[in-house]
Amino acid sequence: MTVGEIPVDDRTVRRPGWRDRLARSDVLHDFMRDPAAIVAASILLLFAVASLAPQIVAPYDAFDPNQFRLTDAFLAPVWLEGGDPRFLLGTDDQGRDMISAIIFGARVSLFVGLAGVLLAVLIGVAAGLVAGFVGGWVDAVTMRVADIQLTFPAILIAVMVDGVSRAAFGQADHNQVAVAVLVLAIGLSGWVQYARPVRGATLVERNREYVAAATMMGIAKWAIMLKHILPNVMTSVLVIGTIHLAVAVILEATLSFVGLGVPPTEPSLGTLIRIGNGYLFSGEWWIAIVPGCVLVILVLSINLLGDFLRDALNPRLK
Amino acid sequence: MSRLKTSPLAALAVAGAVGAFAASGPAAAKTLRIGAQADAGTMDPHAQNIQTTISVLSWMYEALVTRDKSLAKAPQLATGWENLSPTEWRFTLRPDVKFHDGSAFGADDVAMSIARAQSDTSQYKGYVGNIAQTRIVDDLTIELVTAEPDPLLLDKLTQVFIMDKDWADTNNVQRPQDLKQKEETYSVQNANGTGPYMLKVREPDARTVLTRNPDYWGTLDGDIDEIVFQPISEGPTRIAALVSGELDLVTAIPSQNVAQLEASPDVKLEVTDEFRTLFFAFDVGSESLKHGDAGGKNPFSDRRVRQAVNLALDSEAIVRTVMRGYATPTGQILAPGNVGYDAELDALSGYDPEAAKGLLAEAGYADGFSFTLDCPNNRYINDEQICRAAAAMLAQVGLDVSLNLMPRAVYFGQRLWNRDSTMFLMGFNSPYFDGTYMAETMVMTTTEGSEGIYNYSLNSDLELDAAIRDARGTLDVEGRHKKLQAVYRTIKGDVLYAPLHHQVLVYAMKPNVGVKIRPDNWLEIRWVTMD
Amino acid sequence: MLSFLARRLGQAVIVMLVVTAVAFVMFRFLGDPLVAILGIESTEAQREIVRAELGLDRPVAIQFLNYLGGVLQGDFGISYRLGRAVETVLVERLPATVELAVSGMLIAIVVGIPAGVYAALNRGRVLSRILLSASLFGISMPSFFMGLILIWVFAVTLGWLPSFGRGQVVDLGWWTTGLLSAGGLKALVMPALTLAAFQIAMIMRLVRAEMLEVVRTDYIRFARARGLSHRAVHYRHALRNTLIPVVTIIGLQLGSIIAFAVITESVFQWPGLGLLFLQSVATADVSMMSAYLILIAALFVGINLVVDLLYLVIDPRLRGRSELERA
Repeated sequence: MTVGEIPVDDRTVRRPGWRDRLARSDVLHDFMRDPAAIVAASILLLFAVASLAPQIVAPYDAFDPNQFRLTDAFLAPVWLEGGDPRFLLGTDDQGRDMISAIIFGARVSLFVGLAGVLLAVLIGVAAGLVAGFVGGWVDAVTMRVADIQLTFPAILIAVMVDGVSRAAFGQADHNQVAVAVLVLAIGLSGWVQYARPVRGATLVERNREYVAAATMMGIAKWAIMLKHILPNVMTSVLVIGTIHLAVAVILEATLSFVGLGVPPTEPSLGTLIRIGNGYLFSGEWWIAIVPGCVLVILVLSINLLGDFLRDALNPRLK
Repeated sequence: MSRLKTSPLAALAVAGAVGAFAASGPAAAKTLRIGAQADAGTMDPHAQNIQTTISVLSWMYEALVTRDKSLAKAPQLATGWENLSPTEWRFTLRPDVKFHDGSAFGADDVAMSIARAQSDTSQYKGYVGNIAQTRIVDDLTIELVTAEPDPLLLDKLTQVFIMDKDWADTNNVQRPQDLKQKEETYSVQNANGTGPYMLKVREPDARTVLTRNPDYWGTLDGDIDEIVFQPISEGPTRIAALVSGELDLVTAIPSQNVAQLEASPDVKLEVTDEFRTLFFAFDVGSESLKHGDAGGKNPFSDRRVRQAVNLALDSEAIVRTVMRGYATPTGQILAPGNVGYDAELDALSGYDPEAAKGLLAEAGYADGFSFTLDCPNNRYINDEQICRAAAAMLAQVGLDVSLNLMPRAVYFGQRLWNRDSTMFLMGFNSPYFDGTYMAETMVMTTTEGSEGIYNYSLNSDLELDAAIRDARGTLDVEGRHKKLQAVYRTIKGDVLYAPLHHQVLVYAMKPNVGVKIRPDNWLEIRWVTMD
Repeated sequence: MLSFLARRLGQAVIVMLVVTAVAFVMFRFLGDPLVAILGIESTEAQREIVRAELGLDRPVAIQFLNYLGGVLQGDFGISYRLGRAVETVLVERLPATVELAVSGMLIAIVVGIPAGVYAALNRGRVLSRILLSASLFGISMPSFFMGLILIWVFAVTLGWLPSFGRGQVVDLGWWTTGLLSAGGLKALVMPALTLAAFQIAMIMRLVRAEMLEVVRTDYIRFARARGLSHRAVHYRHALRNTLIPVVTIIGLQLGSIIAFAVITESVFQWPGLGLLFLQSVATADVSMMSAYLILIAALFVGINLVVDLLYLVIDPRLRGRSELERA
């Protein structure tokens, strides 16, 4: 599950800030003319709002056991026989409102995905910058590690990280750190895709006159990197990051589905599907299918937006 | 999907035969395809004391004693037995019985099998550990001498399968498989018993194929020629396979799928109360909570707190919703059918969250306390759902519960065995239908021998221990029954456990299959029919 | 060139060592093999004996060295759960996974490459928009959910296809195949499709992107300027140049498809290596899990070595450049 690498455009001679570039690249103009991107962005906005204030958006607090009763379990969505107007999309096996469970679950999924991507960006960009700027054995070692890791699919690395953490924290107490471990798994399995283009860009920048000039003026290396090189790679990182977010959300869902992810007491979308899988054949299909569809919609929206960003920010593909 | 392979010549012969007996159609081979949750771990009859393994092995291997349809002990490879003294038993063996490889069954096979079950690598020592001596009287007579009088010897012998001595010698499998050996032993992949079916194909985890033993001494209710046993761990997949006709018989149906299968015209259900009870247990012995915070105290050592938990758990709602009615709510930990069972104790404590809060306040925990509830997620029927429901119910009376779900290997290996759990889910049944077993292994103070080996509660009540010891030593069943009833009444009175329900076993099958379920989940193949 | 080879080989060895160490460490502490061996209802005394027999009481470093020594001799120990030699079981399970992975990959290639070429050459047409949308859907669909829905529709509701297993399998002695019987083929359909779905989308998008890149390059423009027909330009020049990176990536994807089969195999109870791996995790079958990871790592490292060598063969510029660095 590797994300296609976005080559960094190194032909632009001037070095405007990334905000300028974003503004000049007609992103907004393109956006308004792309209905798919608009729909995707709107859906993501909805997810974002619901995730930021689930207590307001969701009818119930899905993580508060005082707000659901076992006697309400397995109620069908309202439009089906056996539906209950209190629960529009029905309830799960614990009597939890599906809408609330999905809102809270999507929040967990998004949080894990975003945090994982952020971690990957941090590691990847830092590694790429340092490798590219310092060069020498630091570069060689970093890139060898990246090479090696790139040969393994993210899912295997994530499973391995999970396994190591189970060893470290003790399997029995693993639930408390499950979310952190997932973030770590996603971060560690995805950093390479940032490190490589960032290193490439840094290599190019390193030899430019203004960097040499800055060095001569006694400006510290790290300051040069942060001030001059980092902004130039941000567009690529943004594009890769968006697509990586989709991959990360799927990864989280997959791990949770096989039982290696978020525990069922505070379920993510993947955990909800895992729970629902047991009821797919007993007629309560909505417990698995509804969160599954929400998951697909979420990932699809992220991917649509990612595609749009890539096309809009990468002039070569236009 | 297996048909009789026929050469053209044989087909001609069959056609001729059909022509001759035109009234009856050609006899197609009857294949019973069984889907179960887990595979038999090995084909070695003394290596693994796990119900599924025993069940599958019982189709190929037989014991001296078996059980009839009323679960009474009945002759199998022994035709009769008598007590020469309280510790001496004489068994008369069944004549003219042949192993699958054609060799004759005799007393030396029994002696070897018992010795084999007693060896270090066996998991069956619990059943034969008390046998001090075996004496071969003649080829069809053997005497067993126990170290102490053992009223349950015959019950235990129903679990000990007999293997051919010559076969064991030839294949160098006089001992059960030893895992430290860097080679797999012959008996892991091969079987040679006296039972109604012979091992044909063994692919661990995938399928095990058995064919009818043409020389079987006994009788079968059905006339099934071939059995294909397949482990399918996912419940939904197992059921889908039955519904779509890929399987004939499926065991361990999750309760949520029972109604759907009931409605399906192509599926028949067989339902039996299992001799297994589910309940929560507490660490009652520690000074403070191992996993949780109650200000340095251990609230569960207080009877009122345990009673509060009992009142907070709505076991009827759990049975109705999680188990969909396929369980019987209960107020005690011993299942019906066991010696010592007292129906009166089944009375529920009743669901009363207000009273529970009151008791907690009375015990000094008006604001609750926090603790971890440990549960397996692949051991009992719907264990995960039961625990999630229970955690919510406990939260509703003000307790701060964090639920810790684990695969069973971790649950037992890292929590229970280390006596490192504050509150946990247990399911218990006795392999020989006698309440002595649970009282002795789970309730008694952990001392020596089998006393308290499963006492994960760190429970220690010397008076109760004495009562259990007294019951255990009582040889006559009626007397033991009475004494055990008193023991279990005390256990209930002390609220040592929070009982949930007696489990119900559901098997699903095609309409042409007939099964009589044994309440210990032992699939007795001789009782299975197929039309 | 020789030093390049030596470096790659050295790297491969280091990777394998690291993976072996990780596999050992993680699974040595994951779960408790004693439960699997002794069953749940065992006594402390029994556990002590087995712990000593298995060497679980010795220092971890010693255990690892012993393990490594065994692995080097092709001895992965005995599966705690199945009581059989690990390598025997792996060999038994390999055909199921290989057949699933290869069929999935074939479907992905047969569908993905033409779809990608079409979408690249016919930008803006309705069908290529549909293809593009479908591919986006394909990479947005978690494979476990895809499998779930397929089972729900084709096995449970319609009853057309079997929901689990390999169906009827023919034993060729050294290989078991489900490809020679109708039942086996039917059983293969849904798992292969599930596994292929993501790859189809991946390959299609990849081919399209590569093709678009190539079409823009100068020599294609020259070819056009020379007056060659669109057809000739597209298929003789553009496609060929597209396929080199695509084939490389497909090679690499074969590894990941085998890893991904873990999910598909668990959804369809496909008796291959992936299902074996998950079942082993559930029962803390240490020896089996470590062996699986090492096997998969070896597979990846092997594929990568081959790809590297192919680069060397294909691209003459790389020969002689010993300080080669692939950025």
